[in-house]
Amino acid sequence: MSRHSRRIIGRGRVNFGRTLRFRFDGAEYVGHEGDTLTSALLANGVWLAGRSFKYHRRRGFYAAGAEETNALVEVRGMDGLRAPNRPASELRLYDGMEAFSQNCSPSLRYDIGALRGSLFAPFLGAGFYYKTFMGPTRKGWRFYEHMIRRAAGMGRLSEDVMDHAQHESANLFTDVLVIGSGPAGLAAAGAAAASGARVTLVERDFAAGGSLLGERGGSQADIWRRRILSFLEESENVRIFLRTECFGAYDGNCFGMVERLREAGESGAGSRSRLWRVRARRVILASGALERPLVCEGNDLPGVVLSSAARLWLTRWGVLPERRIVIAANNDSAWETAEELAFAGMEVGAKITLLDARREGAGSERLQRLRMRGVEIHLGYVPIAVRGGRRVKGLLAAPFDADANIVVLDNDNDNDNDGDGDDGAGSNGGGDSAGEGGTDEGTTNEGAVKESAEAMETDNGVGDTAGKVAGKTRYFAADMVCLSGGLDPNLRLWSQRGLSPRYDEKIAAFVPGDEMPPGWEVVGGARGTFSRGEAIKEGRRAAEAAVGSRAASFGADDDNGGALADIFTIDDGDELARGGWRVAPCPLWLSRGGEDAFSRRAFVDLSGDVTVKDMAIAVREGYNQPEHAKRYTTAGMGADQGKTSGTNAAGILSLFAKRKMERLGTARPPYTPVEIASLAGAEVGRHFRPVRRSPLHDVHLREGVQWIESGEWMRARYYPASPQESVEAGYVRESAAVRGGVGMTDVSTLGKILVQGADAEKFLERVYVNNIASLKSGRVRYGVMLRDDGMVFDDGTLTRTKDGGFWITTTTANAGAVLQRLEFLHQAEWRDLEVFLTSVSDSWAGIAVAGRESLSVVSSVFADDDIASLPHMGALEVLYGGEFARVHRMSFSGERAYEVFVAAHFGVSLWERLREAGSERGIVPYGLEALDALRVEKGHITVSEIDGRVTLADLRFEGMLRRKSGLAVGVPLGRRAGLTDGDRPCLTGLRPLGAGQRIESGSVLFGMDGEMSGHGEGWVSSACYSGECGGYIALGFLSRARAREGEEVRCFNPVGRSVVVARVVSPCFVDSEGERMR
Amino acid sequence: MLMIPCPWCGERAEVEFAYGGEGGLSRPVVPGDLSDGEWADYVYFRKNPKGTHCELWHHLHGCGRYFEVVRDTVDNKVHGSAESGSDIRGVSDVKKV
Ligand SMILES: [Zn+2]
Repeated sequence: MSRHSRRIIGRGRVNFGRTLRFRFDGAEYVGHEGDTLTSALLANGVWLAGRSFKYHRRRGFYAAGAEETNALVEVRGMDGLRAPNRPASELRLYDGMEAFSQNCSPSLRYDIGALRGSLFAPFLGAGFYYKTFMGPTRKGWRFYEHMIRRAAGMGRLSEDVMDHAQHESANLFTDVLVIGSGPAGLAAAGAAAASGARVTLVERDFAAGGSLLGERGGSQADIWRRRILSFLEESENVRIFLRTECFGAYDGNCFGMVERLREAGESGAGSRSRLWRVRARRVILASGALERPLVCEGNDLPGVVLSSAARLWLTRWGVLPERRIVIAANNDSAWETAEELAFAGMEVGAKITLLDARREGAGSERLQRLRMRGVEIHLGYVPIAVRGGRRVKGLLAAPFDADANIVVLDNDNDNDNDGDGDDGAGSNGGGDSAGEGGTDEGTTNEGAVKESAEAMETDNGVGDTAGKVAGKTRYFAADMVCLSGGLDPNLRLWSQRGLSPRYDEKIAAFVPGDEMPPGWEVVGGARGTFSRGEAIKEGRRAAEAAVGSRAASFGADDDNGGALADIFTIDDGDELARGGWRVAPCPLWLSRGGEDAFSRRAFVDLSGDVTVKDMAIAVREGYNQPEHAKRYTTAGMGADQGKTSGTNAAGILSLFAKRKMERLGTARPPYTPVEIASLAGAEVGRHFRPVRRSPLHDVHLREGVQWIESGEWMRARYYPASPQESVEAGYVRESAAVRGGVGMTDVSTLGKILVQGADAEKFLERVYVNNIASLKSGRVRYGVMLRDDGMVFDDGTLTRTKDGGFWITTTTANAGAVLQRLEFLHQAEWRDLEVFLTSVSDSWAGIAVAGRESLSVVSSVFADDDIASLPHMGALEVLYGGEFARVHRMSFSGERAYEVFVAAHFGVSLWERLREAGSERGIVPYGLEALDALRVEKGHITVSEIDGRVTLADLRFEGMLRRKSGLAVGVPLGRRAGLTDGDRPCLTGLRPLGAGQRIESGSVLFGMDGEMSGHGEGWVSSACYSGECGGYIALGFLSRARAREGEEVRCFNPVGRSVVVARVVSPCFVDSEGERMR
Repeated sequence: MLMIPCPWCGERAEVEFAYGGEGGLSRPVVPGDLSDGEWADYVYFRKNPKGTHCELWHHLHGCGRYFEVVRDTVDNKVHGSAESGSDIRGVSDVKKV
């Protein structure tokens, strides 16, 4: 067949004037604007699209929409970026597209995995993982691991290529959200738009119209589609999203949508996708219905397709991939396909054969019409097996007798191509004996048909829907087999709201129950309304209900209303209204009865390679509940997510397990895969979370800072004296400067809260374990907060201000948590207290000046005589630049020190003036590392010690607890026996015995005897080099530490597996009397 | 995503709020009178019901207030809200703000 003869001249909505070049698996092809990868490849005669997930069977193009789970391909993007698992049916062709098949090694045609698939297929059946890797045989994992790891997962991600594409996110508020742009959705959007409400119409496809796109160009249905679309496009209150997947329905009618702007490899400016958070007042779900296949032997061969796909390929893309086509169905939809194929096929001499399980077919009128078009029709026939090797060669069918007892074909006589040898040139299907020429009535299995009473109990009531095969089989040669097993309302989004559909026997499908999420309506195919005229009416009615009665009468005088009234004038006899189902379908879950009659090549879920045999095994082994069977077989758990497999799997389970029809599993977002990049949006790399900068940020840069990230903050780690200076050399030098003279550091990141109001003191008295009443104005006090369970929550300082309020500081890390906790206590627990809490963290810049020269530095900047006389733990309110500033004399380092707080915008100027004032005395800026070393030397705690597991007693603060009233948070439970037990690890200092040895933070402490295993007797929380001590020191927690001072312990570092012997010492290494700071 | 009716700001999206735990609890007034067991009840034990639940929400990125909300944990329907301390436990038809 020549290259272009698969396109039918004059058909489809493809722009033949614009040619697009693309590559699939390296080979070059040509397509046209408007094509999908599927339509373009089919037009080029390419059927093989990929290999299946588990058995690596050849798979072809199968569907024309989201339900395509066979032809998942990888699109190669810029810089070699891989975008895997894209359904070929959804890939809008662009010039230069480069796509690759998946699950193939080394190539699609010759795949090693297929060999593996055939060798191991018997082992990979239902429950393989459970049986092999749990219980006594779990060691099997070692044997299979290599194989399974290679086979697991679908597609490949780029490991070394960074995705530089932009993705953005946005919010949308709408009055009416219409999901789906088929007949019902368009009608709903149109009717809602006429009321003036804000209407949002969402369509996953890149063209609007849904099933209307399956109608011939120029038909009444096509004209209607174009008219209502142009009305919507002209309405200013309507927003239409194409190529946009509404993937999740959440509480409060909030929806997640991804608007695909470009494919990974598609050039263009701007973002590649846009994530929408939509909030809708009313929701009209018009997501249509998806066709499901019939389940029979060999139903996965390339060339077996959904009947709806064959129709769309023709009407939308003008592609008729083959000339000998057999359609097997149980419902009216396939008749519409047959009619379309026949209409186009007459010109090119196509041969269309239609088999319908129903004796009456789709009614006599359609029967006559199709026969006139040359369609060969066999009523009461069901497919038994698709024959072929690399490709479809034909279909074996047999009469279906709903009244007869179940008849099972003999298992072997129809020449199964056992062994999956579909790579071997010699393999073929048994049906070849019937010849390739036509639909010879090859009675291949005459005599092989026999009654099998034990295969299936017939009186159980549920057996009716098993394929009952009676009489002679017939063989139909074909190059393409279209299967249609019925339509399933697409209720994913509705089900995501926690609702379960009910089984409707009339249409043999699951439909929504009466319960609706608030503000929702489900219309059209999604509701099980498969008649087009009815769907349009439903859409319009739902919209009118959603927006009130205003839309009910489209006033002719209204600009829009008049046009719309015309659009909605549809006679029941119109071609537009006639489309859809007229005769009830005949449910058909299997086309061969009896579980053992199946080979493992009748596929229920193609994407997960789940066969009827797997379902039978699951039931036989007791997994006959839907949830169990689903997990045991993995039906509906792969890429398909039940789109084509759900109802068939439910039907087969109901047959085998003799249960009523129940849906398998529940629906969760997303409806189709959403790239993580789309969800992340712009929040990647440095934008992943906000970075907080001190008001002194720029001045640190000028000082040549090395940064360290601490929580959200960028903090100064140290200021290298030379580019070669290491972190350790740097902090040792900086600490020595503080101990020897004076240093300055940025403390702006501390949390700062103003506590005001008549009951501020009372409030803080209940919040801190310290005594607050005795805190005088102009004094600073160290304070500790507990949690209600008695553990230490945070520490900081309290200062009583002149106006009677309090200025409190928290650790940098807990600033937010402390404020939230205080708000909670105030608003929810002690509502009677008059207290006002204000976070002023960002309003103040803070600089600590430490060292014995600190007073001279600070007092030369503030011309306030009181500074010289400020006692230790005293606070002054002074002026700086005409605004309030605070000078607190307090020390974290153990040296005389001042913390100076000024308005944030004065921070840089204060730094510069202090720096200048101190230059004569050799002032040195010091960073977080030196700050930490100085406080470790002094035995002061930070969040390294307050890790949520320590009590006051653990920190040697037990005295506070004794004096405190039980009203304070954490005090009653802090006194529990278990928390005051003397054996608990408590704060200790540690010094290594060996010179130059260092103790690592995180080490586990053990006594000198016994094995080092388990949790030991304590741990090391902080460690550093101490210039004062001339060696490494550490703080940690050790059981009964006070009594053990002078003893030796082993510090075991589990990471390096090294052991350092250390002496237990007081946690205060420097100036234990505190003389320097006073 | 829930729409939460803040008594001060009206209905706002859930992202503006932080959950504040079970509502309607009252802190012991005379803490010393409680046994460890009673304290444990107050500190650790929560109802976690299937159905109507009184809970606190904090309008963290809004007015900053904690307030009580009655929500059905089965369908996430919010029945109403009130200023903290109103004790709206068990109320399923609190007037919506
Ligand atoms: Zn608020």
